[in-house]
Amino acid sequence: MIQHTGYRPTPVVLPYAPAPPYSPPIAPRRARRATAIVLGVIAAALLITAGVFAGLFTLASGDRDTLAGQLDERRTELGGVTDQVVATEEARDTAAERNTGLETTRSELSACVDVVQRYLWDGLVGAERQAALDQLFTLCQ
Amino acid sequence: MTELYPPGVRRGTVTALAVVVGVLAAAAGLFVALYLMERGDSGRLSTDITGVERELADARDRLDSVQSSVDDLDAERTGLEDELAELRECANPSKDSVVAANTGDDPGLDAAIEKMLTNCGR
Repeated sequence: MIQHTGYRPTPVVLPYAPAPPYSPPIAPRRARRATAIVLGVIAAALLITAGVFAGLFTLASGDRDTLAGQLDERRTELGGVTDQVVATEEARDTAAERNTGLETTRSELSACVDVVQRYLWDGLVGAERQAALDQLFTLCQ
Repeated sequence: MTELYPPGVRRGTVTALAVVVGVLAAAAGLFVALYLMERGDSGRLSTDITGVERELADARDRLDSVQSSVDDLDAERTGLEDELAELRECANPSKDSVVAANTGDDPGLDAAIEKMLTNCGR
């Protein structure tokens, strides 16, 4: 058992008291944290949005290229058909001209044949026969 | 000095996040704009294709119509040529007879008249 001897330690007085650790105010810390969280959420949302629209852009770009190819194809086809139309129209005009010539020839030959048949088979006499013969000489040149 | 901020909330982190948000906003805006432009282009191309297809259909109709005319004219030509061949059977000796008569070619005239009598019947 310790007995009391009457000794009492002298309290040490330090020359200075340790400064309390610095701590920023609570409100700004909370505000930064909230800002960081909000920015993080916005960043995530923007990242998703950018990714989605990058994908959509890629798909739309592919569609656009396909449509451009189809348009070129149709235009080439249209050019070919237009050329065919022009060539066929020329052939039609040539055929029409040729038929017109044939019809003219037919008219001339028909006139000749008609007068010959009249002269030969209608039993014409006198002036009528002579008139038919004159026509024959005119029309069957 | 000991940093006593809670993790992830340093001023630099907030600044970096703001920069990232800015970059991502720009990227998202760019891709949205590019997507809308592509959509617009695709819409215009679809309209152009529709127009060209309509022109193509019209051109094909015209081609069919013109080809039909050519076929009709060819058939008409065949008929005309047959008719002309028949007419020439009579017209040629008739012309020969006129020439023979004009040149005093009596044997030629007789031969031509013989053919006329044969070929110019009704």
